[in-house]
Amino acid sequence: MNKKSSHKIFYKQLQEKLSHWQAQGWVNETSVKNILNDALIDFQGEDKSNSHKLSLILAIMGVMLLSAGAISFFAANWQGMSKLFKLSLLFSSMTGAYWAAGWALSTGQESHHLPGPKYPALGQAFLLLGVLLFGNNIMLIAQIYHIDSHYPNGIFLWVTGALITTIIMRSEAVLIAASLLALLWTGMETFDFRQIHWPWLIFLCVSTFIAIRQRAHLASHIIIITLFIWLLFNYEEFTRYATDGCIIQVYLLIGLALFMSARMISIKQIDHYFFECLSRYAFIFALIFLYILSFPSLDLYPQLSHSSNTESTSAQLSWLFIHLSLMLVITGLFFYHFKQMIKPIPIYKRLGLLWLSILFISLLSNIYFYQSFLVQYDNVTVIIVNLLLFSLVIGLICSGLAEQNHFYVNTAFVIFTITLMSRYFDTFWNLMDRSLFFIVGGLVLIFGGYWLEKKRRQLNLSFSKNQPKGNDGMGYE
Amino acid sequence: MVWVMNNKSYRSVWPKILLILFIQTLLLMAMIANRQLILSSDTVVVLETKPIDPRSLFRGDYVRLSYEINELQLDELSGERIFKTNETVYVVLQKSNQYWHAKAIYLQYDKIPEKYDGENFALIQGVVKRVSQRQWKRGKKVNNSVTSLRVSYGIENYFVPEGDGLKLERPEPGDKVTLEIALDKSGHAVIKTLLLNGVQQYEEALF
Repeated sequence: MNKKSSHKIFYKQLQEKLSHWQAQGWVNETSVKNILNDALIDFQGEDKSNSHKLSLILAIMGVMLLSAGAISFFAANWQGMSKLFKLSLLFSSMTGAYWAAGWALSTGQESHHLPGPKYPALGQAFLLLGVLLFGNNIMLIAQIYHIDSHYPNGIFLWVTGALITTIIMRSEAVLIAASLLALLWTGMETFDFRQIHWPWLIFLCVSTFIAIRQRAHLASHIIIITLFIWLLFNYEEFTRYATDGCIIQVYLLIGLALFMSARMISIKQIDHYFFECLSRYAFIFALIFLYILSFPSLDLYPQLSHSSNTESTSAQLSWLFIHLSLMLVITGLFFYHFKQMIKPIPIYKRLGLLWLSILFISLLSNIYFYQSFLVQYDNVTVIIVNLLLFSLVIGLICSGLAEQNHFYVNTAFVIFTITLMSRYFDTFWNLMDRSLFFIVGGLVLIFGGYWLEKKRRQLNLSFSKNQPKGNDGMGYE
Repeated sequence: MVWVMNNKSYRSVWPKILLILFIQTLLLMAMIANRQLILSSDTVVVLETKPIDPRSLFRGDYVRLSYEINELQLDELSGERIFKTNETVYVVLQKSNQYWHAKAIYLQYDKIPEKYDGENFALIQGVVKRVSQRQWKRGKKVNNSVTSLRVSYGIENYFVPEGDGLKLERPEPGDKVTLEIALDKSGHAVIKTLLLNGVQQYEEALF
């Protein structure tokens, strides 16, 4: 059901209730009128906000077209105009865009007795145009002087200009543009210059701070997505120092660590929305890498080099250190979470700790014993990872139901379906083994479901006896 | 989407807009001033090129230029011998006849001997892009000695009007594309003039 129709239903129900309350003598006629008017204003406010969104989208599309036209015009390097004239034209266009933004954002609505500027959407679009023309200026200057030395620096300068505008004007549209430009910057540095691009993390910190401070919801999504894209961009560079399996394990742990950290901060209510988004994306990121580890045919052995030179020993130790540090962080956060919770701690959460311990042991053993020890038992780690994936499905459904969190339940069903399909079609086992696996799995799930249902009833009973209804603080839906 | 500002913030829009304009203009002016300063330098060297290639996403058509000094054979140069990728290097150029050629290479500006101060010498700064190493020499294992370097000087792209790229990119047999490069004291380089068979085709000047 969309927001508009739910508002209509609410308004209709309110009308019916109010006439009933008026008949009962609980409210008078004036109060009824005031209440209905108030509800109507909210309803119209929602409509107005939607029309603002539409004008912003249209204005931004116009700005993108204008900017693309300007880039093409100057890229054509037309000689009918002197360089100085071209530059003056771009400078004055940039000034004009900012002037228009200033006008749109400073024209108030005094006549309407409403706070804020009269043309906020147009103002944001002009700010964005100013930032895009600033980038055009950089490119034109680079073209005039044939600047070739480390060309991603031009994009970096553009990002800096965009960030300055965002900080000063608190513009979410410009913050989104800055994040996308920064992604272009880090992409160029990573792919064209073959290096792990750490400076992008500074940009991430600054943009995250701005997004949290300005409560910019859409920008939060974009910034978080770019973080995971950055990790993927650098994958190839990381594999220069370790095997694919090792990096995949580290990515899985990074995802889990980010998920746990974001959950903890969400509980503390520092900024609900940003960290809520981060926890969801991080969880999906971790799941993707756990899923990749579940493929036996990929042979992603993370074992590090056996050569005895000092350099490779120190590399082995560094990766082991990274693994252990991430595991410590995750475990620490898990125990911290236990400490914050109202007792008794639900059984699925205690089992979560066991799940993590098995995962950590598998990952560590994968590093050191993959070929020399586990190979004798034919893909033992992969079987454990598959069992962990299926047990995670049960754990997620339990926590999703207990915390009334649809995300966990939906994710559980997605993992279950994808893993089931993958295991059915991969060539890991022969048909007889596969059949046995699915039959045993099916029986486990049916009996597990029965046992969980029993447990849930017991829990509900004890909750209703001991404390008022509510979740443990993790729920947010 | 944050577009609704409070009363106080929307009334103070103009100072903020002016501040953004000031900072961004300053950044652009710094870019221009830096290049203009190098262009106004008295040190100008002429380099031979081997043009190769085509188009930038934002800046249009360009000719990708390859200079003789991009590929340095360390056997033929004096100076230092150990280099890593992405290191900044200082290459001493010497004039012989009309063109300038690499004479020595150093990692630090202070280590360049005074004998290279004369009129026939110039200094150009670059970044090592590729290091070629030799592990074996005359049947004996040597300790990864560097034999040649690929160095970039930031003058490898020349932006031209749309469609003009091919003329310079694939000159007629016997045609010679040369460039005049302006250098500042610390070796930063900017393309000043492009010549085809000694005839000036483009000259770089903003004013």
